[in-house]
Amino acid sequence: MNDSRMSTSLPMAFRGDTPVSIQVQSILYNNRASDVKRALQSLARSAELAMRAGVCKQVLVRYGDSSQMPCFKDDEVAELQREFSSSISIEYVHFGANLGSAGGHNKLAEESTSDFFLIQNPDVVVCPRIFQLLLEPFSNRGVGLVEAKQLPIEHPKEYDPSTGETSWAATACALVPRSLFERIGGFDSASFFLYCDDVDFSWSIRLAGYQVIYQPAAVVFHDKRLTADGKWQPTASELYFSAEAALILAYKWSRADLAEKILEYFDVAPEPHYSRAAAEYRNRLSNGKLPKPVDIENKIAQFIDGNYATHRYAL
Amino acid sequence: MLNSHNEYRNAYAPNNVYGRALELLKRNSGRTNARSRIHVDIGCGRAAIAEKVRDELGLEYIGFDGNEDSVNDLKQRGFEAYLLNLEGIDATRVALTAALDGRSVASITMLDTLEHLPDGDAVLAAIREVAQKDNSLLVFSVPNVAHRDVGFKLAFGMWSYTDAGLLDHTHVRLFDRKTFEKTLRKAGLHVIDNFDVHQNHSDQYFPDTHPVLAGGTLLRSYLKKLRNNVDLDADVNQFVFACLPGGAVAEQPFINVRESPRPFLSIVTRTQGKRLHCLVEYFTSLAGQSCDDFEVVIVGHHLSIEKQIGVEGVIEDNPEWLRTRTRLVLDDRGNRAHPLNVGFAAANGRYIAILDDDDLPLGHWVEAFKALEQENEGKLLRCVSLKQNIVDVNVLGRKGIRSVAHPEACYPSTYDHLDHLRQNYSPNNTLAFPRGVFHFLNLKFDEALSTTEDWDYIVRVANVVGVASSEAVTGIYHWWTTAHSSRTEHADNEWSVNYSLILQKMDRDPVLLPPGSTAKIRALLSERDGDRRHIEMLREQIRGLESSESYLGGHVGDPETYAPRFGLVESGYRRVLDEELARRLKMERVVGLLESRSWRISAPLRFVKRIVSRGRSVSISACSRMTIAELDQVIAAIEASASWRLTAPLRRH
Repeated sequence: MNDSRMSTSLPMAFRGDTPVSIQVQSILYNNRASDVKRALQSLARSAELAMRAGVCKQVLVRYGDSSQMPCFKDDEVAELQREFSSSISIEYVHFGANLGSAGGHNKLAEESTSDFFLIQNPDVVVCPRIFQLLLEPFSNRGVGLVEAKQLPIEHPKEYDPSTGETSWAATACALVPRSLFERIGGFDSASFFLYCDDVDFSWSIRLAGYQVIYQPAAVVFHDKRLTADGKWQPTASELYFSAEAALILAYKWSRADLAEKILEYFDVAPEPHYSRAAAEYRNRLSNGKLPKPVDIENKIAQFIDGNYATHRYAL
Repeated sequence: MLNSHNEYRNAYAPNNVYGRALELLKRNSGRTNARSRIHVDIGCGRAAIAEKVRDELGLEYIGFDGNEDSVNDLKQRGFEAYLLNLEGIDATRVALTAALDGRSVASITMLDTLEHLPDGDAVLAAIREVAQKDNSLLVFSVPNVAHRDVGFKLAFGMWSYTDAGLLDHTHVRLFDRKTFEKTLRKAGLHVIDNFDVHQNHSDQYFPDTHPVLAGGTLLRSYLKKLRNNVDLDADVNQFVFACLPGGAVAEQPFINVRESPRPFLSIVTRTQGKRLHCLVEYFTSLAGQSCDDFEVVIVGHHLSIEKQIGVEGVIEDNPEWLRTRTRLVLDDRGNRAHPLNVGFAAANGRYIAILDDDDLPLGHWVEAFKALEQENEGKLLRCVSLKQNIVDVNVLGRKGIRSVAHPEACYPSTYDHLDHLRQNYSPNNTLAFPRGVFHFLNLKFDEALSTTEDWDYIVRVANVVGVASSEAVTGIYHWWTTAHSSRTEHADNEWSVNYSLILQKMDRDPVLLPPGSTAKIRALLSERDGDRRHIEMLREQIRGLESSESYLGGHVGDPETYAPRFGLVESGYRRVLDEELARRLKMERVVGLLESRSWRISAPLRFVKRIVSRGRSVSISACSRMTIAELDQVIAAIEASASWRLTAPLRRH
């Protein structure tokens, strides 16, 4: 990391002796109520422990629903609010449109007064001490984003085994100070819909001079299944949006050359999602809808073997 | 119920019920009222113990029986005797009280009588009232209806009432140990000692041509092995219990609740409290299960107080629903197998799974087992795990686990019992054991084994209940590459000693094999025969080449000399010959390695497919088709493999 870029005045630092308020925000999209409730049970317990330990003073859980049909009815929300009222507050809004991940999180972050945002998937099950473990690294004022380790399939991206410093953080579960979130303008929802919004978000935080930390002691269970040969099988929409995001990310982070190479590959690849992604990219390019390139000197972004960090192993 | 076909003229013998009863009276005499000098024998029949009680215990013997001839006979022998029909509590109490006429009672026996009484509970209650006045010692005996001679025959539809004996046709109540104990307790009679009569062959050992009875049959051997493992009662002919009177308990001697509700799965986990960060990952993964029909039994093994507090803290941190279904059981004894037995004993689930605290379940780990049970009730259930290498890290002062390789599919996707007779292909977290094998057949982990106790248990359980497999990947089996684990803390020779022990155990008893096994055995035998033929052919070829080499050896470098003599021998041919010879010598080396004792012994330590990667297994016939370079690769891989290095001591001379 380039220390010269390090901020000297982080808007919100965690000192450990002053309880903070946290807004946990998740985007719903046709989630099963039972999965959300299971996640809430663990989250509520974690909030209870964090408040008892004096590290948190308030935990608000905000759901934004991008589904066409709401995942929860009003009475079901009220029931959840009652059930977990001793430790967390719950708010639910049905967007009425699919805002995607980036747009949804930006929407939920609006008008918040919480000190930190815990951005996470609605079905991740957190470990009991998640708040303390994710807050601790913020005692270093140079830290801007702290990510939890996902179970049972850990992401293979490289991180420093002592400091936890890493290229980017997945927002399946990551903690960021609200002030920093606002300062970098939240997620780039104009460029990213579902995937790589977190990579871009992480790099924006690093571009602003802060570190992204991966804390393997803070674990969350994110129910992913593997094929018989140990591979992760992405869905069709995951493949498409990942492909589209790969092109846009390369362009935005001043690697138009790489975007061209990816396009060459997509053009000859037989899978239809690649040609669709290439067409969308070219459409944005010709209409001037791609983001303005940043990190011109390529000091932040990492494009390594098709990944956005060095990977310890292929998954 | 009196028996008009048999007068039970059994004589006293030290090893029959009379001798055992007398011994119980002797060795528990200190518990009786020392001032009392009366012994009461109810249902005394021909009173085989009368003289012994008088002469050896120094007590005054009084006999009661419903058979007038027996009473008269006893009187003629100089003993006090009364006619007594044991019917109802009041009649029994009145008759006994009247006969005793205020005399205090040192001890009471009622031998082989209770099973004849239509209202035995009332008679016992009356006896207890009489005994309680003087805190009299009591000895009761009943025949054991669960003797294996009765049980084995009954399993095949044979139930043989006889004129006397275990299945005397006048028996109106049948007892096994538990029923007998409960019956006594219900009447306020509490067992303090026992001295049962054992008989390898009971009076029910007939017809001796029945395959479950004939001593040499596999069927009897298999049944005996299982039955003897359950408890020590298989050959008990009569239970002989010493009791003292006390308060009656409310529990009925019969079962009125057939099944209690229980969770589908009990998850048993050993911990030494050394890896609390692993335990946090473990519980977080359980909190994320798609099916919550489970309970958790954490067995703290040799925990110090500090470590116990640490483990309790991790449990306490969990959300309420998970915390309340988790129990910490402390175990300060034994080796690695002991806490498994403790955990299984504490488990309430229909199935019991082992999940080590450093392994991870996927979200459908419980759900997949439960789905598998639907069509395979009672079988050992088996899913699939991937192996992943991990190390400990310390990030900003917090301990965490770092995966260092991708999850590897190195275990077979289905269970093959024959394969498991050689080595274990099923990590603990792939299995769920049916509760019955532990709780009813008493099949336990062998605590004599210091490693691979899980493999031994899998095979023993599978031999009895069979295995149902699912190809679903439901778990990750973590493999420490730096820290201590069971894989690293045991010496090489310990592994091989345990391996040999397990093989010996497998061959000690008959086994059941699942359907389809004979076809697999035939295929294996055919493969073996093919390999043998192939090896012999190769050896012959090598011998042929060696003789050619020997013959040609003297002429190497002197083409002028040999070329005219052999014509066809040219330098190009010579090169080919040399290469083929080198290739076959290398193949002999591979054959030697694969057939070596240490390679075979090291089998449980490794997964052959990984040696020559990409799923190609190393077999002798496969090697015969390899090039020199490929053979070099195999030799290097074998010699570099962990298992080959671990078994180095086995190759020392």
